[in-house]
Amino acid sequence: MPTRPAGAAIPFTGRLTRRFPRDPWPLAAGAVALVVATPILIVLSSLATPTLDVWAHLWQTQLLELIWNTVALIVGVGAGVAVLGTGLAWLTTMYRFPGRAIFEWLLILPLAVPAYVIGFVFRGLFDYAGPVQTGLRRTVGPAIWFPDIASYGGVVLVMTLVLYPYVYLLARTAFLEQSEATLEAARALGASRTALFWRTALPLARPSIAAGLSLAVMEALADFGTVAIYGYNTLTVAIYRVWFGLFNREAATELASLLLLFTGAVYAAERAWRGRARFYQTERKARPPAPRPLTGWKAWTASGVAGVVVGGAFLLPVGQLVVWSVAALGGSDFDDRYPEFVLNTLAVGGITALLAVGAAVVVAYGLRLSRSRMVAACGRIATLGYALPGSVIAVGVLVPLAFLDRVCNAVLRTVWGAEVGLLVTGSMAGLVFAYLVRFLAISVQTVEASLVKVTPSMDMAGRSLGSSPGGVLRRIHLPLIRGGLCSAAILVFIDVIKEMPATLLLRPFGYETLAVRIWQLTSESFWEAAALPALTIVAAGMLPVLILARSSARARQGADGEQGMKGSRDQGRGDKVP
Amino acid sequence: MIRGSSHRKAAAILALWMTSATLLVPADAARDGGEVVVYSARIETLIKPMFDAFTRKTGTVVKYFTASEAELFERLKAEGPHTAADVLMTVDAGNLWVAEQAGLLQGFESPTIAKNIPAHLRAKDHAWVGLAVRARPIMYSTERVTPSELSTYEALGELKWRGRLCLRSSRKVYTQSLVATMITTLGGERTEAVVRGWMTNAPRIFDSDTKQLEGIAAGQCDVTIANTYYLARLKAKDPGFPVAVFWPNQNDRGVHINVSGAGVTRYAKHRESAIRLIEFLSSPEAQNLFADGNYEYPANPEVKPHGLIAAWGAFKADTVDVAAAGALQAEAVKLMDRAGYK
Amino acid sequence: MSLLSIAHLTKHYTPTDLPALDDFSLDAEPGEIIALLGPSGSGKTTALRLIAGFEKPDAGVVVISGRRMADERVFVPPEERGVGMVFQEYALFPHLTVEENIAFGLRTLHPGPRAQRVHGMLETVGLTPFARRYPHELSGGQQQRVALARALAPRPAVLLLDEPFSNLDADLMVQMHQEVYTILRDLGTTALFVTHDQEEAFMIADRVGILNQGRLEQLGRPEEIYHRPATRFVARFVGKADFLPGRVTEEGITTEIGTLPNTPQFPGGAQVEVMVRPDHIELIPDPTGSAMILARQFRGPDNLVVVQLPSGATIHSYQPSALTLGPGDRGKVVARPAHVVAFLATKPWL
Repeated sequence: MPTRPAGAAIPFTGRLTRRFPRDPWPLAAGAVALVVATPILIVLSSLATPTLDVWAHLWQTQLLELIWNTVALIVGVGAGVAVLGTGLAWLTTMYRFPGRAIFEWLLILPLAVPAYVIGFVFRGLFDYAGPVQTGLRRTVGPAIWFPDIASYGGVVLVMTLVLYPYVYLLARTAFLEQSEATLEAARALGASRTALFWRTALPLARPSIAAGLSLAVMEALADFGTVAIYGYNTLTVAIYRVWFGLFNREAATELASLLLLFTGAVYAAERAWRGRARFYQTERKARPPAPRPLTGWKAWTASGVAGVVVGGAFLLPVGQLVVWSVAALGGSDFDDRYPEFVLNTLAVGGITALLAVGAAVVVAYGLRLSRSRMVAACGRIATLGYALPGSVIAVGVLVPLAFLDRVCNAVLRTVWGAEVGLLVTGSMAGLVFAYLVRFLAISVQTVEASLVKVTPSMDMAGRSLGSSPGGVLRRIHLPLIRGGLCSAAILVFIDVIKEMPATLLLRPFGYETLAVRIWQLTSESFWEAAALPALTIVAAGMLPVLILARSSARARQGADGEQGMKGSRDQGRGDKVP
Repeated sequence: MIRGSSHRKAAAILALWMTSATLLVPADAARDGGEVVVYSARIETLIKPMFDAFTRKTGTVVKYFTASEAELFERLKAEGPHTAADVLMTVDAGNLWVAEQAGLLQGFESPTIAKNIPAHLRAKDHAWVGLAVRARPIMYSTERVTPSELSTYEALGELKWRGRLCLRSSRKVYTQSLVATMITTLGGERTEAVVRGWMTNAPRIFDSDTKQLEGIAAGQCDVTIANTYYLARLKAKDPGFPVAVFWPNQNDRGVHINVSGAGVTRYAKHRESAIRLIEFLSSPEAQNLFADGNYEYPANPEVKPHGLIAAWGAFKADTVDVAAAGALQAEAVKLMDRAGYK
Repeated sequence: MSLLSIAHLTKHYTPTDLPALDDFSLDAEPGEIIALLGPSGSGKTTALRLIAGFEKPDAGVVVISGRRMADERVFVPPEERGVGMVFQEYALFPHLTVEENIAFGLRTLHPGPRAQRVHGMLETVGLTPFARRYPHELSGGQQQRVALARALAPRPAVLLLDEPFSNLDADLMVQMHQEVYTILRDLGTTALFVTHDQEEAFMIADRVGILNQGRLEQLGRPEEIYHRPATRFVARFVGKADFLPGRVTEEGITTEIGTLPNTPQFPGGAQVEVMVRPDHIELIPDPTGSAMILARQFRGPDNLVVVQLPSGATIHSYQPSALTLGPGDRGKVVARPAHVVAFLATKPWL
């Protein structure tokens, strides 16, 4: 028992003295990650008992081609999205051109349109029998050549248009947060505007661009609807082929595990590209870059490019949907249960968004605070779901749910002699769980990115000023990451309302959503009838997307607002004590 | 500051309440009496009219859940004995056979069905019952092809069709069934030769029958193989649509057909109602609703098909056991993979 | 009673490597300003974090104002220690104004006294017109003053500063040294600050501690540290130091440049290394002198001359600004140390 210095008074502090400061975050994060990772691990475990004859068959016929196609897709879409997203972000951040203020947020709108819808509209429009080619043949001549839309190029084009907003959004934020001072320093060192981009701004924005890229690529990997429409055979297509065609669900999940390998590669590439950049920036006087006005043909080219992208990725598909909806309105599909579908869609989207943000906060904090590799690994595995097709995740979810139900029933039967039937299989909880597994990646990425703003020394400052850890969270973290939390919720909401395959499989009995409706109609080629529910999904997604766009534009406004303070700041820099 | 935090608290509580209220809505356990539950791969618009008619006639409410077949299987398997499903309805006989093999269906006695539906369109023990027939003949451009040029499915591999052939993707069950029945009759080797023959003509592969037919109309190709009801729909909208039906293989096995059908699930809670429903669907009164709604041929020979498709004339249909398609479907897929049929 | 009492503080970050902090002990009197000086990796920041409570020590005791904050049974979390902290990068809260930042730690005060305290701190650091500004609208010096005000507002018993001046430019730094010193003195706050800049440490601190690889090599007044370094490391770290071999004889310590009194009381015959600083060395121009100038660095107020001795050893010397000698010139070297510092030779030189 150590002796106290004589005469020193030790005031009784009661509960204030603790033996071990318990840190709940890593444990909680690990738990969340594990729960969410379970279906993915189940999918992976199928590799333990491979169906060799299927693999042998695939190897002999298609496997190499499938892998090649998948790699080509990743590379093509990745490059397209990186170039388009980053380029547009740079354009709207650094330059002024006609219509820039509107284009800034219009360019985010394609997020609200489901990928398979844009894919389908393009195919319909530009196919041989479609209006564009038919029109060309009629006016110019029957021998006119037109690129084949149902090709690799077509798929990459469509997916680039669908997925560039992820990179656009994140790159924009990164560019806006860069200090004008840094860029000025580079200019002073002789960097031209292009060199500025390549050697200064781009490397600084690397983590954000990498994050957006990995999201986009994972969505491309998981996509089935679009590649099927274009007849492009990827691993995902093979998964469905094996499952639905060979009636071999086990082999399908094994193929899905192969898909996860690709995701692993994407992750590794992202980490490598992010480099060893520190995730928090030291405080500095961040004066965001002042946009340079473009003139003449450059200005109109800029407007043109932005206009073409917005037109192609959003206005064109939505316009076509409107045309079709109007044509189909006369039909019998607009029944009185429509409001119910809409409500169901919004409800399940909203609930999942909330839970996804909550789970993401837990995981992101756990990753931030814990040095344990286990937690980090769990966190990464939990976000793998984004690269798996919805059906595969749904199957992965069914297994634990069914198990849970069997256990519950067995227990309740022996204890109370009651037969409860299904509790979680086919319940809302099961469906939301599947969504979480599928979409946690988005919320975790977004929350992590916004946590970057909170430096460890801010934590320490807060605590040294008497604030408990909870107080630090409430008074320092929350105000700073609030924007990121909202963005995460919005992004998850949009993705949930667009999701189709997992919804089909897991939804509660009698619970119909808009996406289910679309599936029903398109599976029997009732395209025009499917336009209305598709349009409704877009409309439902547009409001949140606009909110996202507004807050992103506000970041710009805040930047411009600070320009006015420039004068007084320079005075302050004179370092006189006022 | 204080105001803001109480707002936030209220919002949090509200959100929590809504979340738990919704999440705790359990899977809808089937309630007793007066209802029957159908898991259907056939979409709502094509089944609702019959179900409504059934309800009007018998008072039994029909609840249904739609998804694609493989998904329905997974769900049924996972739900096990606690499943709510009484009836499984699919759009392909092969899938029905697989369901039967997987033990998802149960057989039952029904003289009504035995009378209404021909033997080759149902399982012996009625584990599955075909309710509507679709044919998959050759379809050709009326502007560029004369019927005399066509004969059999196999003949589409002839040189003259090079660059003029459109085919449905091998991913779709229609194609898989066709090839499966060919394997049954012709054997694996010969069928593979036929498929390879098709492939040498560099066919354009489509993911939609409707698009194939539109492609023919636009001049992208001249012949294809498609389901009768897709053409019927196009013709209904535009009687002058320049594509016509040719019934192939009339001198040998006949045109490939497939059935859309249903079966009673193994753990059905409302077995009697389920049987009544299927019997109803096989009766003349429902057959018209069932078939005409989608321009399909009624399985019940007493019932006349819709005028539009009746106008295409009678044809010799392949009477091979349609369910055999299910047994050979995996083999058909592998065969097509080997032959390079995407 | 000392305000801050640290005894045998030890911290290992990895079980196998060397400890980040090893057996660190220090007592600070109320109102005292102590600087911890050392190269990077020496454990200075670890010491601060342990005192503040952001790390748990593996061994040792921390007592602040008579209260045990950390020992093998007890660990008080940072928010309850009453220790203020100023960070290298200031860590101001970007979403709060200057006023709100300063008020952050004053939750226990009623609004009236709180506003008064904030106002008082703003005046102390001279930032009253900037109360409603946001951190990103301030210059570096202003931000640092806000950080200081924020940390001092709750009247902590001890203030810890982690390289607080390293982000400032040179003349601002000098100015800030003055200001911070005055503020701390006026408030009577005990302060412990960490730096790698020796000038800064000497200028502000009452006592200076030199850390090397986790060990506190010496703790004392700046004059002591400079003139009587306890180890070679300390000698080299604070100011320039050259070491010349010497042998203890009856007259004293014999070196190449003269015989020096044996004040450290080494035993006769011992081989030692004598520390000589440039300000101890006199250079008399003499073409026949045994020492030769290798280089001369004009520094404005003086010259730093590198001299080679006949043995080949090089020493440094401060020479007047107007010196005209240059490389190649010869001279005579005389040592005039205020105080002889020598260490037993680690390897025998003959």
